[in-house]
Amino acid sequence: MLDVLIPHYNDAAALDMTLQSIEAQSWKGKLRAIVMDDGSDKEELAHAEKVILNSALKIEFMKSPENRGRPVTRNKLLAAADARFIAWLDAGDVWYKHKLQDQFNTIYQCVYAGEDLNRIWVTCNYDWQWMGRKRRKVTQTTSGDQLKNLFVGDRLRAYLWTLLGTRESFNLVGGFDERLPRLQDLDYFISFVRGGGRLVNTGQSEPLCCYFKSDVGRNAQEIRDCYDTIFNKHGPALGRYGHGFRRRSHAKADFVAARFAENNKRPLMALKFWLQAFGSDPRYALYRTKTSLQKG
Amino acid sequence: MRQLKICFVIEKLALRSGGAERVLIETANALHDAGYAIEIVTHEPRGKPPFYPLRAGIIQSNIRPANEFRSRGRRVLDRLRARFHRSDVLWPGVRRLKWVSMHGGFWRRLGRHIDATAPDIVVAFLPPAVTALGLARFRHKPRLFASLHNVPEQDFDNPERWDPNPVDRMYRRRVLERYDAIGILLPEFRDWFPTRLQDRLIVMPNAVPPVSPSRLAQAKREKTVISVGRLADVKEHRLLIEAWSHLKADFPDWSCRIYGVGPLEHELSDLIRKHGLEDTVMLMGDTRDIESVYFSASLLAHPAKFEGFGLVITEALAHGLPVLGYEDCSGFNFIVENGRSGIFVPSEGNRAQNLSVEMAKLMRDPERRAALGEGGFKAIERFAPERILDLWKVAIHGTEPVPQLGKA
Repeated sequence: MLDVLIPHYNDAAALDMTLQSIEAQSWKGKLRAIVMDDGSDKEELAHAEKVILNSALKIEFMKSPENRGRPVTRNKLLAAADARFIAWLDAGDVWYKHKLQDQFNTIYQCVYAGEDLNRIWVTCNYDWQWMGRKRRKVTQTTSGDQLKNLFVGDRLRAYLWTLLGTRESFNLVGGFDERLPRLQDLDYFISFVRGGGRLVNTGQSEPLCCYFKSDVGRNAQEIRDCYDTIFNKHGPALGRYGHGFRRRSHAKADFVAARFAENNKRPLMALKFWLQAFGSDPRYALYRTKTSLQKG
Repeated sequence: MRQLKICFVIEKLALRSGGAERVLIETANALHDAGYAIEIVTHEPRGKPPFYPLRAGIIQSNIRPANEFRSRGRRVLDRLRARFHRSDVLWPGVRRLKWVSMHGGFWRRLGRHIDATAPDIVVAFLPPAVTALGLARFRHKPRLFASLHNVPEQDFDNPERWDPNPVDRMYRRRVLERYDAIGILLPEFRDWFPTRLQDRLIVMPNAVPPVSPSRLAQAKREKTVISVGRLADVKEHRLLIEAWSHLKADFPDWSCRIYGVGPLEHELSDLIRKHGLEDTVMLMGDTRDIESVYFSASLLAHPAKFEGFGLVITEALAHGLPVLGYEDCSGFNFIVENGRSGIFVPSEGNRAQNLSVEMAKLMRDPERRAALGEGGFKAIERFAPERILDLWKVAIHGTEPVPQLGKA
């Protein structure tokens, strides 16, 4: 049996799209969606309830009386799940038709290979859809040093909705860090790998889900602070890769925060992060500046 | 979902096969199985894994920066500092500088790490970690628990144990005030602590995993006496070797095997040669398969001066092995009941001679050995892992009243 864990906040239309993508899955095993509303406005909540009533899926709907943030919601969802397998999907993102089927096939291969399923998460390639731009395929590379790749964030990205795993595997280490309003996935992934867990990809080169990406309305400073919390928390692991790597990670975090600031029309804040990146790793900052100038 | 986050702190764990390290790992594994999120924090130069296996899901964090990433200038400075640390210089004024140079990094980094990870409970194992946690500065407010694994006089008063610097000894005692609870191994250790700390003490013996009776019934005992423990002064292996020199002629088909490594290895080898016991007394070194050793032996001789608890004794009893030790050895006389689960050797007079007399009696009497083995197997039920885990939960949650374990 599979539980699909879906946090929802103030976007019933997106929830509808998400639930439809689950309904359309080619995998026809026993499935239950657990949707937790994180204190949406009355109107959106009523709309979400309607969406759930109209869905053909078996859905358990949980409500929080107030908005507690995504990590708290995810922890509650994780505590509520009791199926052998768990997958995640955020309201607003979608799975393609064969996502679960391909991931379960990978699980069976792992069983045949004698792997401990409780230490494995199956991820997949996905599409990255920026608002108003073309979809771009992103490959999850699970070979090499996964911890290092997670810190770098280019070859292996920490997105929960790409995952399928056993309930035990999602409880291998602690839950989501409730101090992190953003990037709690990254912290969760890093903790999993540090605790002896491993990510495997399906082997399918095709993307199996789609992430609708938007920076609008997100606080750049909050995101940068979350990076700091993660870097401090996993400092001993980050430190094993040397000072240069640590500086590069900080500079990359500054660039991510600068991008959020820029997309939210905060040019001064973006400049502040760019200068911070230059202070942390001047070579990398110059390289990023050069590539962004080349791209125009 | 794992609700509570426990952070265990120990200074060194890499490849360490000591009793306290083993207790830490077994406790961490048991608490992880019980649903807690566990992190083990060390502060050591070696980036090696622990000697004992850890459960998947337990995070290890060595908060000491790796040497290879330090600048050349910093490494030169570190070498000079290491030379200063090894020196006997303890002049007033300099001793404080030396102490800060040796230990300051541990408690400074530990404080930062606790703020960064925000655990619910922090458990410090052994005095170096207890001192570091006691001095660490952090804004986060976890419950603090000190886990002590030796006789308090040895941990706090003996200038030869841990750092001989008087500044370290002073802080070792002073920091205990900061802890919400302090775990000691035996009830008799309570008396050492000042009255104001008495209500924070919890007697927490080590857990002894049970051995199945069917496996015990299959054990094929050889005519072997074993001793297990670090080759150090406190374990008094020399008394066993001397005792064996009295037994050699009467028991030519028996042998004595001593398991462990330590600073006295050469001295003990010389003593074996001096008494001409090379054929019957053997120093076996470390083993990862101590269970087979317990199953194949007939007797455990434990001539230690004192024990914080005596993990070896409980393990031997769990494997149906009768044990002998001195009547004044703490730990031994807490675990063992004379004549029922083992034999108390008189501590007055010639200790080696006394040991050889009691050993000879048991070596001649297989029925008595079997009876003692059976009695010992039952005696260690009170140290069953689930019972000790309950005590740990009390230590972690601070629930009152604190259950206590009685004497054998």
